[in-house]
Amino acid sequence: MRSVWRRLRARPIGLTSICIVLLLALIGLLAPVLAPGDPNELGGDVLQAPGAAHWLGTDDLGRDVLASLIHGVRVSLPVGILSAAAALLLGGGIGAIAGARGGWTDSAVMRLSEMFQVIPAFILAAVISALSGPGEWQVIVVIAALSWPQPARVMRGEVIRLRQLDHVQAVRCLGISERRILLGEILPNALAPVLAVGALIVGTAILLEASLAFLGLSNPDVVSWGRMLNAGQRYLFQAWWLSVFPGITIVVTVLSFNLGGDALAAALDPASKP
Amino acid sequence: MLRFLLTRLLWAAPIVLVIAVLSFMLLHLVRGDPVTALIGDFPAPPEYVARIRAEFGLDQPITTQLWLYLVNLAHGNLGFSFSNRMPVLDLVLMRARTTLLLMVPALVAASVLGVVMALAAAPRAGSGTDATITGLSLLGHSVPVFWLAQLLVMAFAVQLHWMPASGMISLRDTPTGWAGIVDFLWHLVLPMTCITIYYVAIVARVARAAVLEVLHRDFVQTAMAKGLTHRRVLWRHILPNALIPVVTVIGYSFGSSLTGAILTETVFAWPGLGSLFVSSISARDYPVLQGIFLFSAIAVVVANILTDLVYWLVDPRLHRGSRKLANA
Amino acid sequence: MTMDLKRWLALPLSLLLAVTAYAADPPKKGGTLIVGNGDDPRVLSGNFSFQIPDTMVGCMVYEGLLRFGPGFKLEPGLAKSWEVSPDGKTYTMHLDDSKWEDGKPVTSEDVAWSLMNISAKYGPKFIPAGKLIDTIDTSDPHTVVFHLKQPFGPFLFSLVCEQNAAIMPKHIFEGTDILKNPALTTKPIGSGAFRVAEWVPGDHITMVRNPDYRRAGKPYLDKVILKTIPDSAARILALQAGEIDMIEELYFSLTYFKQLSADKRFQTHSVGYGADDLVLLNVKNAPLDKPEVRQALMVAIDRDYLFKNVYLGLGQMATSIVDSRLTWAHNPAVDYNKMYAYDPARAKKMLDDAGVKPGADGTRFTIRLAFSANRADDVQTAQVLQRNWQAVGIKVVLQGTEGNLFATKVFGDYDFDAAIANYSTGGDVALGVSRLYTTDSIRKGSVYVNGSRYSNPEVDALFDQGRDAANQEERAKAYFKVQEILAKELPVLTLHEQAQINVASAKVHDLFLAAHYPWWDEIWMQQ
Repeated sequence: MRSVWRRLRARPIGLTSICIVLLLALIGLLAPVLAPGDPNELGGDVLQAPGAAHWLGTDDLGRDVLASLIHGVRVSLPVGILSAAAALLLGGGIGAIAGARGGWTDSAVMRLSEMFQVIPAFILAAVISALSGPGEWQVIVVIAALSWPQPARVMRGEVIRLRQLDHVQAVRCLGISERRILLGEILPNALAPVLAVGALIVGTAILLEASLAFLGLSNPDVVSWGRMLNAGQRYLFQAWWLSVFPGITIVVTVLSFNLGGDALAAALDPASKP
Repeated sequence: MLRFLLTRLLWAAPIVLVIAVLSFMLLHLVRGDPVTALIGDFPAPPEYVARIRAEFGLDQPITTQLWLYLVNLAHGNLGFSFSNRMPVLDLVLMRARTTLLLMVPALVAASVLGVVMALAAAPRAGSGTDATITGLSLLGHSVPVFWLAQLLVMAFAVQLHWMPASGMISLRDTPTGWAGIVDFLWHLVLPMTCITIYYVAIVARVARAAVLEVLHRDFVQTAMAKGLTHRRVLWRHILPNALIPVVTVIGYSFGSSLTGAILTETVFAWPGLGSLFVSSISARDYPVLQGIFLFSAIAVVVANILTDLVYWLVDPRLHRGSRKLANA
Repeated sequence: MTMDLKRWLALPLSLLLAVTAYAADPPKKGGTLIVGNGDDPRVLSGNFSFQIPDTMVGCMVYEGLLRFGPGFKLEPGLAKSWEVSPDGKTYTMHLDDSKWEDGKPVTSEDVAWSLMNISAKYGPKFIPAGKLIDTIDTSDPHTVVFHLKQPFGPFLFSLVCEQNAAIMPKHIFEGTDILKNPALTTKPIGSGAFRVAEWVPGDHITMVRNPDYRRAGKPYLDKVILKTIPDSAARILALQAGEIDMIEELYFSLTYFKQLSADKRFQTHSVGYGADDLVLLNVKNAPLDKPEVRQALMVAIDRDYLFKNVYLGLGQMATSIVDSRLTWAHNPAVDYNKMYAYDPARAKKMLDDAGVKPGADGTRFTIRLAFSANRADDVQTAQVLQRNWQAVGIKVVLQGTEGNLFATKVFGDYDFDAAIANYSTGGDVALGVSRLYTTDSIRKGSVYVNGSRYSNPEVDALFDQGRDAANQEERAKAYFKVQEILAKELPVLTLHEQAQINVASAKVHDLFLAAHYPWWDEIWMQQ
């Protein structure tokens, strides 16, 4: 544990990113306290530039941009994390089995994963949202269903690699069952790169939600960052703050997940420096 | 080798078939039909609607339609797009070509840039420079493409007038010959930037890992000790090794890049598969949507097979007694 | 009323000023006009739908007998003059000398054939007129005589190209599979001022001057290019960058209006038939079956807030079911601004009096509010209505869906309590607003008709009278009365008369001579 912390400290950018992610999660949890009142409450100060009363300005129906961004955390973050978690669980499980069993199972899983990778994620999500109604669950399901091959491949690769290692062979000689080896020795060590992939998936999910909103395929009743970008397009010239702030928020969030995931993976990996 | 190819191709066929059936069922199980989309917001007399439906065979049961679709598919007939008034196959191929004109330069640029960044970052692994470069590349991967596109257009097209705001070529006084090519390239810059930025991250990450791995190999250390210049080491050993995973990852990304084109093409009015997809959704032009699904799937499968092939051919570790290993 | 009059006069007055200013410069020949549209047309004829790109581009290629001038006045098109018999049943049209692209002349045979075989079968807007045509006399190749079964007020109106009445060559289309005929898409053989030179699907259509156009010296422009830019922000950016010269009202998001109208490089004009933003109420669902409840809903709406923030102060709030732009049919005695002024306290009382009292949790009843999620205005309207109605104790559930799904939900399944929609006036009460209220317009599955399923024989009779009366005064009488009735019944809450504004570069001249699509042959560009 201490070595993990030490490695993290050696990577300031990654550490900062992880802190930002945690901060965002906190903001999401505390949203009703930080931005009291209904974010959808319409106000009289329409299209106000950033100023003393409204730090990030207001939108076309008088809603405070900062408050909307804060409440948007509660949409974008869960969508991202749930999608990634589902993909990791599904993919990690399948990948571990494939790597452990090898042979026919392995080939079948590889071909299956290829089939899923072949389906274009965005197209599927767009079609489903357009034709059966928008929603966050559509995004989560589509991402989980189509992204599991990534963690699966990584997990499979790690399992195969780790199985051959000397100390694992040694443990095997001691007579410990394969399953215990898998769970006890291999999986904890395989975690690092898989987590890194997971962080990337979070980013992909958040960007997918924003993209669907851009095409008008998201739930209009829900305050999400993507929706804010979509609405902000109409005021590109008069109200730049409606496009710039949500965009920056998305960039910072996704970037933090990406950099944080990388750093965490490196920190967890016993083979990395220092 | 041949066996490898054959096995892969054999697997490709059922995958494509499953995609075809799945996409058909998916599209037809949902509400809203193309005639309503065609008509828009005005009441059409029922006889008119019935006539149009009959024209497009929409009044037959789904199973019949599916069977007809599969039979036509076997003959290479992907149907007729009623909103574009041309055969789907021709339409998809034409638009795919336009998308490729955008994607290929973008992916090539992403590869080059990614490798350059990796070469700069890897030797200084763990340092601030490395972290900065990695961070920069990941930045490109974190930006919503359409947002970036609009900002770029506002800055470079509207304010500075350095680049065009949309389209593939200048419509007023369209230049021809060499000037035409230059005009096209000038229109390519902004949309290409949006796509390249996204893929640089993936390439840089993979290339960096590959370069790192090679840098620590014994034979490289030996070569350096022997006094070989940096440049020779770079070109003879490091680059080829870095390129393999880059090609692999670009090949695998090809499929997703087709759909990544959707957003960029929409903002830049680039008449490719992406914008065709968007307009076909609202037009409920099922044959086109199915055609795009199918085409994307096939493209990805082909790209995967080709990439596997290239990987197999080029990876020195798979060749017994390779010259590359021995050379120093 | 005077305030509104000023606002409505402002635009035409400035137009007049602009005309006189421009009239000083003589038109210059040459130049290319680039129009930015949101989609490609599906076919190059105005006969098959009412989607803007189709009718706009189609009517450049295949023209109609008449065309719209300012204020929807009827002007010559393929017909240079006409007479109407006193009983309103015989219309004699005299054709001008026009040629098809293949050199053959446009004759009365073409007119009769294409109106009865194409427009009357495929053109949703022409069908009512088509049904009433008894015979067409084509003995003289330059004269077309229509004999109607009964008088039809909007008959001449229906002969304009945009009303799905484009004239197409009989010798090219007769006997062929019309919808698959290349003259409809890739190789049109039209009579219009411009001919199609190139169509790159999904990208642009290039049209060049027709050297044999019947009006000498016109068109002035060398080329008109119709570029497809699907994204609305991208269209505006292209206009700002000078890459396109004009955006039609449908494709112009009014949020950019303020900025562009203040910019000297651009000009804006009000165009279009007129369309209204309204809310359909499902009168079969209690308590919306009570007129008092429907009226209360109207009173609870903050009209000023809607007008200023959602509609950006453009157009005007509706005062009656008939759009005020249809001046002859609009009843000035009916005024929603007075009848239903914003008053939440009054709304609450009206609901109480109607017997719809709040329950234990303060909710009187629930409204499922449907709207099309792709229309930004409708999304905003929905959010405002939700707030307004919740303030008087009505729970509102927002149900926004994609455009086509919305149409199916509302008109196919009647799965809504209130639905936000936009209806075109169609240019005439008989062609537009009547379909919202008549019993025979209740057709499950037919979109944008009487979605409320309101049925009232007195109202039906009045709409019939309005349509069949021999002259405009008689028609107006019937329409005035029906407005009084429906203002109290309110099965549909007509909220707002949309501003339909098109925007163009200031370098384009004579763009606004017509109420709807431009007269392409009259446009010229400053070089």
